[in-house]
Amino acid sequence: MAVDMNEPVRVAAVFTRGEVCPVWFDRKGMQVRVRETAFSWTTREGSSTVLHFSVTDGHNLYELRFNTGTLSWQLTYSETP
Amino acid sequence: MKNILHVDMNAFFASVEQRANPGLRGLPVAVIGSRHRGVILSPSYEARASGVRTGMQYHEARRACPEIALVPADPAKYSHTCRRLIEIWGRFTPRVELFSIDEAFLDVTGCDALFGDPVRIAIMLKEQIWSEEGLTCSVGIAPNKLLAKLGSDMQKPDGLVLICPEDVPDTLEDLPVCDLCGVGPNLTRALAAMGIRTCGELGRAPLRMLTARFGIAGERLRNMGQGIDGDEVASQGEQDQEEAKSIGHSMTLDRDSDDREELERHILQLSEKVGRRLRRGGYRGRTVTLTLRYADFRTFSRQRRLDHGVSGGLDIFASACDLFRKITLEQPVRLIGVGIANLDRDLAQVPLFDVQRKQRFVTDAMDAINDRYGDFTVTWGTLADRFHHERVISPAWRPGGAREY
Repeated sequence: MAVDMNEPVRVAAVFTRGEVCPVWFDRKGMQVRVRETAFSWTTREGSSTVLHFSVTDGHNLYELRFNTGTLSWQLTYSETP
Repeated sequence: MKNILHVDMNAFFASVEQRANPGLRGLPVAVIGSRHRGVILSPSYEARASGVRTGMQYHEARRACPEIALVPADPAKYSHTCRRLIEIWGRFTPRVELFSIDEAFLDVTGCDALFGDPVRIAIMLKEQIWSEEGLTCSVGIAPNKLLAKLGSDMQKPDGLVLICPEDVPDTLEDLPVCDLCGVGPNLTRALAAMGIRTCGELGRAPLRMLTARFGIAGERLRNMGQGIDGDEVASQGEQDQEEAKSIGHSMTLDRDSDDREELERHILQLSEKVGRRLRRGGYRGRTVTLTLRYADFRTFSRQRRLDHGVSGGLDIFASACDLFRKITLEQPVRLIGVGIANLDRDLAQVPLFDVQRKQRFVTDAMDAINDRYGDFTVTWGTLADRFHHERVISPAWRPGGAREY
């Protein structure tokens, strides 16, 4: 089932050499470990760059977005088989 | 002799979606226009194997391939990937001409000393695109753009075709004219009516006969039939310096509509977007065009020439709306487009009259806020109830300048 959403989310990420790599995020009181960042892309929101990550926990697909202007993370999509 | 590469990304939108969602890899997938409209924009090669084609309605695709996964288009992913591809192509030559979001011409003439012959360059380029982006492409190598494009079309997916000058006559002799880039269905029919069906026949056709029918394009057509094309590869800088001739936006509605109030709100939103792009590019325009497409795909446009240049969304809306109000709708509308042409540079003359000056201040203030916080953060009350629309990638999209949305 695919669900679009716009939920603020707590994310642990590694920032290294100008790249951002999500490691885990909270979801319904559980910690979801990122197994693979399948794809990442950027968009603009006004003067802010927004980083998007398509990630999997090995089972489900999620999309996370990080607004570099507000330093905020959001969960925008989830897809369960 | 020039060495031109044409790079054509294979099933680009579908391949990007398969990369973004590991669950779709190796499966039949098609990218559709939007969640509410089921026109197939890009089927994956797995879906093509089952007979799914670009332009099909989603129910036709489902009939051909019941297990197909339909994914709504996400233009931000494709434009981002295109920017990364431009970076890869630029490693081999500065002369990269973006032909569309998933195609480019590269002039690698003189690059042999750095990277090897053109075939070696094409192999390296394909390897780097695969290892960094996980995407395949077809590459055509030839002495000019026309033949390079032809070459990339000959072997898909993941192809590499070299057309040497000595191979050109044999390659073109029996090739249907419609396989040449720029020869569409109407031109194909017109040529067929003259007894010309293959490139060989086109190349041998008397010039006088072709110019009598097609004017000055007749000579270019005959050259195309002979594989001659003098068109240079324009670098990114040259393309950016090209002045825009027109700016437009269109939207396919989520559902066909004959509600005039709703349609006018869409026209206002489109006019605002056109105005924003005009002002960003420093242009103003004099000819406003409104385009409508009915549910049966019948499409028509109405134009108005203004006596002065405009760049404000409301000015564009006023003209477009006036055109719209003179149209008697014969059936529900599927697509609306607003455009402006006859562009010149807006020299930002200070308006003489108070009303215009205030209007300019309001527009400047809105632009400043929207530049900082995102488009439509501050907008007209009519659009406040989120008349947003899923973005559609334009064939004229470019990574910068007035053609970027």
